[in-house]
Amino acid sequence: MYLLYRSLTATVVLLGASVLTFGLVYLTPGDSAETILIQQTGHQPSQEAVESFREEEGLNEPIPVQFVDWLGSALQGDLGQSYYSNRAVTELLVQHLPATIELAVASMAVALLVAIPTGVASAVHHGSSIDAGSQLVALVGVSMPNFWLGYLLIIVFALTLDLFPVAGTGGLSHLVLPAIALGTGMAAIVMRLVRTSMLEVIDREYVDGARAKGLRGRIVVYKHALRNALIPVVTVIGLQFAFVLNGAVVIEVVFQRPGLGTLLVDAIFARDYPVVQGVVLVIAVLFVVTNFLVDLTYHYLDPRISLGGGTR
Amino acid sequence: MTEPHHDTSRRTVLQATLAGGVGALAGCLTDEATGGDDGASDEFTIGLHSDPTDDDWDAFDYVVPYFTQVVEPLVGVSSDVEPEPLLATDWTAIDDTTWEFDLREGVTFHDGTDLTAADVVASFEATFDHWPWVDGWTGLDPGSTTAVDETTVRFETTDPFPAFPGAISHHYFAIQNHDAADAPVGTGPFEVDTTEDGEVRLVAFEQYRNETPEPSALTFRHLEDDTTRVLSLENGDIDIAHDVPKDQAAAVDEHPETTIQTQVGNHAGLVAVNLYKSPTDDEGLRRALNWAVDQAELVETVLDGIGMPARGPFSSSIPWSIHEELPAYGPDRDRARELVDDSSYDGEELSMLVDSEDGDDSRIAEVLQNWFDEIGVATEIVQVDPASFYDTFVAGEANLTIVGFGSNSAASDYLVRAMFHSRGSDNYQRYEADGTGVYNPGDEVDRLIEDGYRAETGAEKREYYGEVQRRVLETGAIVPLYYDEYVLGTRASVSGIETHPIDKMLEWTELSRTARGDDGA
Repeated sequence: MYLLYRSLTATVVLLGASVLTFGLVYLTPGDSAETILIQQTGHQPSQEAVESFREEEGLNEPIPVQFVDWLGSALQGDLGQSYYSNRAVTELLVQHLPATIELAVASMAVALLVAIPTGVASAVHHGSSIDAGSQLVALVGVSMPNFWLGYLLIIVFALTLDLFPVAGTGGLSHLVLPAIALGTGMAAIVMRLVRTSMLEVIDREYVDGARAKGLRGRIVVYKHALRNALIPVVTVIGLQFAFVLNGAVVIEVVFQRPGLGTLLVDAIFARDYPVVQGVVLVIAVLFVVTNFLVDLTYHYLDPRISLGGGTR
Repeated sequence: MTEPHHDTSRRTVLQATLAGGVGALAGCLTDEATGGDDGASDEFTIGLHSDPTDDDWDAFDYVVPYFTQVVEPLVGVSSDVEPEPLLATDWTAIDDTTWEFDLREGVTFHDGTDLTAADVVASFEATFDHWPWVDGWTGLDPGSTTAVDETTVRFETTDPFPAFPGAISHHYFAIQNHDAADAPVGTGPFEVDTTEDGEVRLVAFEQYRNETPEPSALTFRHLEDDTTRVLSLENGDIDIAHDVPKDQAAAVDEHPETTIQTQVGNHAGLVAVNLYKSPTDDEGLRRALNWAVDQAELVETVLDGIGMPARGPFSSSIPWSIHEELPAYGPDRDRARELVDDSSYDGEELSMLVDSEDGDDSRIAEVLQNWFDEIGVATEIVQVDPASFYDTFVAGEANLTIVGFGSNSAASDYLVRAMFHSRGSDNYQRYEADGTGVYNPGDEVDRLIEDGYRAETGAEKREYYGEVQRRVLETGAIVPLYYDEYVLGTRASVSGIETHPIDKMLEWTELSRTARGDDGA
């Protein structure tokens, strides 16, 4: 039942996202048909050309009819044709999506690898210099603009130490610096949350009980305390996925990675509406799917949360 | 007692493994990250702000002809921006509207097939099909290009257009073998080896004019972010960085392993003043704005001294620009204040439109705002995204618009028409709507532009277009700002770049590299 419920809510969210995505064309100022023709031809179109374009593209139909047509095509994988390049939007998405997914996954991995041990250490050594140091690092990490950190990483690790390439795509080496640049902000947020969450559970009776049973400190912390502390953290990680996708727009430009971010920015500046709609829709789908998976993770972390609804 | 021992042991093993892994990874990454810069290789990598595989160039199979020299037009552009033979060795005006071009003999495409007149016809038709507006530049209609024989092409223009050969020197008219399975197959010194998103690798075409050009390979890489492009140059990931931002040029020049080259291009920056919107419909106020601006200071402060203070709307590198003959207004803000006092201006705020993505123009707008404020004229800076900028400008919504224009061909006639003719693309919308425009001074200037367009000689053209430039300044239809100077950053070991007033026509065939250690780097 829970799965069915979550699937239904995810579908409703996606439907809402698709309405907003479709509505982008109508929310932007100016006559979209005229703007598109200027983009395509480079000069002011005649009124006849604008009318003819509206007719060809179905822009004279009532908006609900246009939406149903658009949604029907989108469900069949047809998101239209780019006004700018004449390429299928789906083709462009397939071309650019892997670079963004790669970056998003890598930056989340960086964030979690840094945030969880540091957050735990900070909580376990609450009030110590380790705690103060990690708090300071978290403050710096969350305050630092990711593009600036990107330049800093390039100067240190590419220019000075010559360990990584400055920009581009290719192997693992091209992924390290952008992943760190993008993952640092999230690491700082997650670390503070892990710390807070751990502090809440670390003095609970079941943790004391585990200690009383003579279990080693590390097992108590990581198996008993952390597992329970992770539930709010996992929720935030799911929400942070949107942060990662937003940040990717900037980081992809700094590190010249041809991902969804650069595709979206270029499409916005070119008023290439089908591409903008396609990218926004894909980002919405990724966000909803990620949060759906996060919901499923709750059950693993705390079996009392039942996928069938309620607790046991 | 055994547990601590095992624990320590595991930790030691883990630490050793991690340390080894990081070391190995660093080693692998170092190999991968290090380019071949400053070695003996004659392969070069050029970082571009624009995408060499831009999606708009599907007519050229997404390999942009700018910079790459894969395809060539019939007509080239000399260093003084005059037409010169390229794939055509000669051309003749048969009558006022008919041109015949003789093709260079013995030219082969990269796939080994011979260049014929039929290929030229197919290429022109493909261009008309993809970019329908180019007929306005050339005076050609689709179907007006014919093959007379294997090596002669005939063009019929709709009107007399003596500058026609220069007009088709634009890369849009580069010739391809459209029968080839994978375009672009051109005739240029470099042929396409591989392309991927944002990057194209070229190799020397061994049959180019019966000899193999140098260098052996060129890679054009899209590095959109200015700072990243400069850092890539300093790191040696690229050999040449095109369009180094002016505020970073000095640092690149001072870096021990990099240097810069600059070249005045044919691009001019100016303020287009709306002649038909109050209060800039007052000529006294427009002239006052001109007296307030110090072009030399603008270049020195905002453009870091890279660029030329402008006197007119067209760069001095365009043959019919009369930059040297145009009077400079000032700066004289006392005189400007007097003109403001004598004008009908009564304190309204002038809107100043700027492309929000153009950092230099945004800074220029702030400086202008201060200067205009000093003479008692209030302005409001309106930043508009690039997609809306041109629409807003031609709709005549602003009093002042900071714009920049240049030409990518040997005939810049279309520029003067687009900017100052009532039916030019910048004024057409308002002119059609209510008989006004934006910065078109009117019928007399329209006639001068039409006469210049039909002028047979360069001197005659200069006379007509020169008069246009004088009228535009006298009426205060523009405030000239600067003639652009573009900056190329190169590794200190790289030499042989032939700069060109049109940066997209840079030549790479003289590139060479001094091996590491020989250049003192």
